Amino acid sequence: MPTVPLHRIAQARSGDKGEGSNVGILARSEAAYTFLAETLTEARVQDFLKEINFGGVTRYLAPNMRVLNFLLEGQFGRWRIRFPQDRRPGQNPRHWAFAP
Amino acid sequence: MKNKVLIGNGQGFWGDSILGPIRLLREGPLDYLTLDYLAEVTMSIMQKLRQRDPNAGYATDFVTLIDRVLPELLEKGTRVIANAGGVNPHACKDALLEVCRKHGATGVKIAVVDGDDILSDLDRMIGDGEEFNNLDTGAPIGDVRSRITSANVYLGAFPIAEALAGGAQIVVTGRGTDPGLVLGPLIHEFNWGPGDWHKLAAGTVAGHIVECGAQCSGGNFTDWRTIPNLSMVGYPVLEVEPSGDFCVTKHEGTGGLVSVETVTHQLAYEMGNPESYLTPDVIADFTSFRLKADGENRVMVQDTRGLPPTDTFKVSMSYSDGWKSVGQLTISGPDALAKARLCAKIVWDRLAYDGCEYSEEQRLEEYVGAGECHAGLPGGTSDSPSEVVLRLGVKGPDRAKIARFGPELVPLVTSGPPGVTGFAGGRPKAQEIIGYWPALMSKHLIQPTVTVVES
Repeated sequence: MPTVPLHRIAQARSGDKGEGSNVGILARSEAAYTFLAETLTEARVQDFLKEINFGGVTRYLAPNMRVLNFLLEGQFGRWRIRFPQDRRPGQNPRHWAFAP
Repeated sequence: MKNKVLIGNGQGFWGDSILGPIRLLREGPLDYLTLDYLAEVTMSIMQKLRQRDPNAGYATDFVTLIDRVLPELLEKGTRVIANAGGVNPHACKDALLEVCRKHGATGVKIAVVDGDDILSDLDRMIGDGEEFNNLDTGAPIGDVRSRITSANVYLGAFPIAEALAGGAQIVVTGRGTDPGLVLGPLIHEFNWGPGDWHKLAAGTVAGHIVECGAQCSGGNFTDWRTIPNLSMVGYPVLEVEPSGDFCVTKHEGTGGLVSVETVTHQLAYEMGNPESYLTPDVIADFTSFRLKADGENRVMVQDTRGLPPTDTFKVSMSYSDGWKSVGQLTISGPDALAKARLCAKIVWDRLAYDGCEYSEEQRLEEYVGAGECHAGLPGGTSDSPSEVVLRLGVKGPDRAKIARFGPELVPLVTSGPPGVTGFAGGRPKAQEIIGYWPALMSKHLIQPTVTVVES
């Protein structure tokens, strides 16, 4: 099966959320949404971000917007909250190489 | 009753461009202009400003804005709602009255919504049994009580509606929910009541979409190359119907883009559980509505559903959490990354020689340009960048020890490896760390107040 970067089939927006942050993955089509809902699991995202997120990952679905929302419980970087550094990883899904 | 209300949001945070609201007023029709100035730690900064000066402690940018646009505001009759009051909304109101005097504008009604500041009542409330456990970590308030510097409740939208019913053209609030700035005028215009859950939810979704300004109209967008004219990006305008259905758009001829995708981007921003977006007025269900393109730069949002709110208010507290000092240098040329690593080692070694050792947890060591933001992701790191920004920092409870760090950074220019530059910022100084403490409290203990005065 061919491999494409995630940004070919989805967009993304992330933000702060309490002590952690969120990454919203916006599927570009219904087909992409169905595929990602099946494949882009909590475990997969946790493993993918393991070098920058040290907490758990919870996934929520909003099919009306074709959004998969991942809550990342770890702080990005040890001092993220107190030093205003932008390390939010979801902003550029180009880096989320995707191998089905 | 109007069959459509036009609301534009011109400010996403304290520090957003003043051109947002100026252009919203200038470039198209508008009934209401809303402005969001408060972030979580802003209140604490304002509290400190007020300790030094009893007339300070609010967003002065707002007063500057009103000074620039007052004649236009009065001519068009646009009403303004801003959470610029911070911890001193009455001082903000007094500054606005002064601006009115300067412009010779009499009869301008200005309202203050407050009652959100519970700092002076905190001990009594704790004594009466309110727990204020940390909402994120569960830790007890006793851990930080003596170091708390601000405590504010997120008020809902009904006091804003009350201020508008009192005839106010400018409404200044303290801490409230961000979407409440938009929901308030909708409650006022359409006579929505506390039981109209679906309408209140729709107004909340509308407020959430515009609360970060241009972040829903083309800013911070994945496919950024496709966005036209970000320089002159149009800040968002809502056209809301009495039913709660609404259209997200922007003034004609402005830059940026409003599409289902740009609106969805903002809806996914800071999203938690999409089925229950909690506010003091309603629980909005972000999985309920439908998004539909409605012509160029127009997106309809329909059929939002909501549920009754919880019986608690969210409280945002801040506390003093020690000291920090952070500085940076640029390391250039061959082997930039290896040289930057040596620079960090030199600084820690010299400080240790002088009796200042910092634990791993107290040290910040970043190599910007070598993959700090996307470590571990494909394409996210570089082993041989031609230059690296070395960011070093320390934090801890002892101010003198933290202050000792700064003077050891710049000496690297002559006593470290070659290629060290970028020291123009001077010596880093010790700065106080502001900690954030979110909590919940019983609603019945809070009584919002609305005051209307006339210039």
